[in-house]
Amino acid sequence: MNRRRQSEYSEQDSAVLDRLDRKFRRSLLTYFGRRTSDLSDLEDMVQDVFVRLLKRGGASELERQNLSAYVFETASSVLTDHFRKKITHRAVNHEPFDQNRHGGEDFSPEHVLINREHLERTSAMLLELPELTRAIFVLRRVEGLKVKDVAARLGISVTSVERHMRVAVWHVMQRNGADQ
Amino acid sequence: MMEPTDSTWREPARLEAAADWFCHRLDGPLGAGDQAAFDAWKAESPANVYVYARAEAAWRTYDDPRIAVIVRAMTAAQAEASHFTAPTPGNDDDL
Repeated sequence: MNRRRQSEYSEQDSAVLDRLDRKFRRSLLTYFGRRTSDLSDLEDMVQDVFVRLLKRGGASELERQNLSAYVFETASSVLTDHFRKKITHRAVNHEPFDQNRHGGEDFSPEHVLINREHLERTSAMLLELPELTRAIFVLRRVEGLKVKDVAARLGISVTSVERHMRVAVWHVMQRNGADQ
Repeated sequence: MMEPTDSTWREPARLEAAADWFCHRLDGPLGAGDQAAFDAWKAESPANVYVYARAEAAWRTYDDPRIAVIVRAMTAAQAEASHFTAPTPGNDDDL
């Protein structure tokens, strides 16, 4: 096991990490291994799960009735973050330079970093929405479909599409506000 | 324009009303009655005008074409991940 970070933890926390490691390491490696091709990141992802669990409550978390379910719920959010980082990184790095759009911008490293964080955050906000609401918002806003076309594509009513759109816009407004 | 305080513009009912109006207007020009109601709502409070501008700003956030690339890839990645069933929870007794 990768123990390089363990020295930062108290004796009690280290004991918790050890127990989690013994119990879940193998199945978490399998879980991540099936879902990503980045084999070099597997160990880090497993560590990330344990560290998140530790941060949330440490030893008391281990007394949970449904510990396994909780561990894999955490693993699922680690996986989502992993995809998000990887994909954002790729999209940002592969964006061709467009003189018309980018020519006048400030390209200091700091500026690029802020943009990347902003892109990540903006995209991630959509992941917080229920699946159907997100799908509707993406079709309407990102893919540019009309309400009636979204309704036809998903086999739901126009009223229902409108309701989901209001929820999505409300969510994005609220999350944007939280960053001010 | 006076900038409403944080708590003013965060009132849930106000945010909701702004989102409702914004989405309503997305679907096409308002009829005369709705337009009057929208104008009246904005005239009610500077906070309404402010929050409505926030709805427009939130919408514009998704103008960046890179968002489409990221969102499509995220959706594909999630769909791929969901093909695998969740592991069977193990027995926690030996912890």
